[in-house]
Amino acid sequence: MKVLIVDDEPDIRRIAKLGLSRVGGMEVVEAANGAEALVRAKEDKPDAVLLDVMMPGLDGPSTLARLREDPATAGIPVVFLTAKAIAAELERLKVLGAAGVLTKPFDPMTLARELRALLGIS
Amino acid sequence: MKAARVPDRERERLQALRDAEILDTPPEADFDALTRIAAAVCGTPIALVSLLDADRQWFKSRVGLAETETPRSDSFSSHAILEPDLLEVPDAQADERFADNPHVVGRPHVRFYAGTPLRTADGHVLGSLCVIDHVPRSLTPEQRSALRDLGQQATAQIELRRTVSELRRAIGERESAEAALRRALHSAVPPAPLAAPTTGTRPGLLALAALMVPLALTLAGAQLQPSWEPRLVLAGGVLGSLIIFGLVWSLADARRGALERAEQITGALRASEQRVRSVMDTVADAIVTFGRDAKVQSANPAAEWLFGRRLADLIGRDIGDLIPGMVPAPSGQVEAEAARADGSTVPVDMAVTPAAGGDTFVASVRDVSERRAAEQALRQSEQRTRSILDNMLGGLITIDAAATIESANPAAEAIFGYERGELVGRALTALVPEAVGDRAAYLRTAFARAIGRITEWRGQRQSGEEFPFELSMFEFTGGGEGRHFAGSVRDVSERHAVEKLKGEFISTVSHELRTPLASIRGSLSLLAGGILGDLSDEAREMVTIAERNCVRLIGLVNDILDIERLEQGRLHMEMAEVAMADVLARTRDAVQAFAAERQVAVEMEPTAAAVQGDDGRLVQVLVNLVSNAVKFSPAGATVRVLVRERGGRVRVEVTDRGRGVPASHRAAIFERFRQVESSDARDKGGTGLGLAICKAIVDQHGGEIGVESEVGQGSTFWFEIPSAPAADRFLEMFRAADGRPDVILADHDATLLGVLVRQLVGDGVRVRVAFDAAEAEQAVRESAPRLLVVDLGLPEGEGRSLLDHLRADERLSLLPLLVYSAQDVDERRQPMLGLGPTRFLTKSRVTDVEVRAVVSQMLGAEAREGRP
Repeated sequence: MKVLIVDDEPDIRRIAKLGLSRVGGMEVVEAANGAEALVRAKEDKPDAVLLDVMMPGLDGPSTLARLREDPATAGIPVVFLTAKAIAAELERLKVLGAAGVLTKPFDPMTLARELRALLGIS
Repeated sequence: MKAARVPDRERERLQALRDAEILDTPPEADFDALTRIAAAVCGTPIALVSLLDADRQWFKSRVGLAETETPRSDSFSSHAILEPDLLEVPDAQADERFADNPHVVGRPHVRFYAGTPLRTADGHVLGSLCVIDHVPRSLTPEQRSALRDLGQQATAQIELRRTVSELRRAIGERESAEAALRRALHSAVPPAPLAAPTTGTRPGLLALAALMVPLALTLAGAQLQPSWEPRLVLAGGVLGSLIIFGLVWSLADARRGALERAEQITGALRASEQRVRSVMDTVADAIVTFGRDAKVQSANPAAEWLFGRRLADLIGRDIGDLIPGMVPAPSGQVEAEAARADGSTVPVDMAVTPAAGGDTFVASVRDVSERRAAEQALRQSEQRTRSILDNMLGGLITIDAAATIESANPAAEAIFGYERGELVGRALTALVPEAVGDRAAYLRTAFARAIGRITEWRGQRQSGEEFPFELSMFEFTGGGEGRHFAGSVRDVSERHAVEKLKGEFISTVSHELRTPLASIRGSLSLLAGGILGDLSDEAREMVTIAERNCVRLIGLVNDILDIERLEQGRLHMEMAEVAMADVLARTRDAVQAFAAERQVAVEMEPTAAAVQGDDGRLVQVLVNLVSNAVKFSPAGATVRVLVRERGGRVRVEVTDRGRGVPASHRAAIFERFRQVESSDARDKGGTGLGLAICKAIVDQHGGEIGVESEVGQGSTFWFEIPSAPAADRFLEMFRAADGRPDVILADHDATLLGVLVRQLVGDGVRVRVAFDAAEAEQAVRESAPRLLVVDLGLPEGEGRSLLDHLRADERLSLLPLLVYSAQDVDERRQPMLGLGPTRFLTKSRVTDVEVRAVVSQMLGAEAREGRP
């Protein structure tokens, strides 16, 4: 299973990658911003995208919308990873068409399990 | 002929005659009776009452003579008045004094004359009563005696007249004095209390010379008292006796009448005197009379008290000593200062009235120190109130029933951007933004909702700038005629800005804190998980400590954010029917590991209760309570969770055998950062926010939370929230028609309805609910609401058909409508769904607060369109 991690914070990318790969045994590709994410998604064809919400430039929801616009990436499930914790905002993110929302701070030891659960992969 | 000499004290005699006021007066029966008796008794053809003026004799009464007066020089009377007793001239032709007298020589041919002097009490002889005959003769001793008596009667008649006339004059003076006194009293003393001002040790002497009539009283008293019964000796035959008796009787009768009149008059005078005296003695106002020379003539007891001087010390004193600056002239009512003997001064009101023809002044002086003190206190109180109003930061505006501004404090003027005094007299509508349309209707709505509570409205400054303000209204009394309202106004634009900033800040903190925490926590977690290779035991221990504290820090950040949102009512609650068994099970899952670690057992009794609430939040509350109980229980103890249903409410109890909560802490522990001991945060973990969050959540469920505890024995934390069926019963209350509702809420989701109804009712909105389209249509037709809130998700497209029905009814087609649905309504479909003013909201996209705001806005808008 290949996961694209999109986050402007390298530390977060690093930790999430370790959690998903070492604990969850997943293949991980990274993108540092929305624009890069669009390229990686198209080229690397990940099975899922773990997408940060607040990023400079193209933010999470916009990136999601762009992914949906491109038939090549429209079908890739997206899970938001956000530091926001306001329930109404989380609801709004779900409404945008994401498969789920995970909040920061996350536990890298359980990240892969939670991601699988949201994607309905056992 | 020998002229009579001029009597001694002739000037005084003439004055006494003039004072008798009898000369040149018409004939009177009383005197005519006397002359007739005299003629009859003495058997003479002529009898006269002759009064001797300076150069004539004038007849008050006459029998047998035509003339009314003759010169004094040749009068018999001028001789008679010199006699101590009776002058009797048996034959005038034989008397050298009268032989050549014209009255002897010519008409009326006097031969016999007998006259008795009319001598007053003062010894003046005013004239004579005389009998005259044409033949020489003499009187018998009895006739002489009768003539003397009749003379005395005549004198008495004359003096009686003078007395009556003096009495009349006295009464006139007295009445004018009384009137002056009344004026003085009335002008200075509106309702003069007659009670004695103090105890009666002060001398009660009252010398009101100007008001008294001592002379008249002396006369009336001394001279009217004795009885003058006629001592008549009858002469002549039986017939003559009878005639004389009759005449004397009628005379006595007449005199008795005059005496009674005089006595009545003197009685009235005495009563008046008495009245004045008692009023003067008991009246609380000082009354002082003084003459043109400014010397005090009299004073009443109150004056002695006021000026601190005995009567003797007052009489003769210059009025200027008592009232400095006072001049002896009437000056109406004035405020003045009274100087007391001890040198102190007393503020007084004074009225001066002239009396006794302007020779005397009556000053009525009232001590007003108490009133002045009260006025001073009132002024100070007003100043204080004014100062508070002027300096308070909250605006205060008072208006009349027509919403015209009657007053506004500086803060209110500043809030609305007006200069001092500029708001008074303006219509309150000037403070309402033009954008609201009908400002008066907007105000009416504002008033209706703001009475007795704080509500938020939009205002307009003079510059045209709009701003939000808080308004609370109350009606007050004492503002004069009509109804008056006061509005307390607070500009909340700054607070709104701060709230916005705070929201942004929280959002930022939320993000900026969580991101580094995520890195730290993630790194530690990976290390502790051994993913990155084995650590030494000590290293693992340190990493574990770091991770635990990092998790605690994250918990604190989350709690702070939670409680901020809870307290602003922005925490989203998903209200639904929740089985408590489920809440218990999820709680057990959450606390199991922690309890096992602490070696504390958690026992939960099975329950079938269901509540109306947000399951996630209820689990949060119960996890918090159970975790606390575990935390404070000794190893090996048991924490019990019990759910009971009672009276439409579900009560959840969490009992531990811990150290207990001291009574002094029981209320405080539900506040933020309040733990029983400050060391608890360190020793037991926790943020000090858990119970505050629990309370906020329970509050939002319309419930209560509390603790019962015995120190050393343990605690029972409990919360109570409405059970699910109770929520239904609650809604039932709003299902029937009850007057005209503001809003009809049509939704099949009882949970959502319950929440919305509670909130709108709390906002003062009258609500009626309907659970399906048919019920909604009936409710709308029955009760003509001001707004319809409808969920289009009513089963099987009912929502849509409801709107079609309403649109078909001309009367209802313009009803304001709020479409509040779970799904977004396509913008292209929106025009087809509208009735009157229509808004669309999607349930998941708005908070409760926003829904309430829109409802309130639409009700306000409806009101300003003035539609039924």
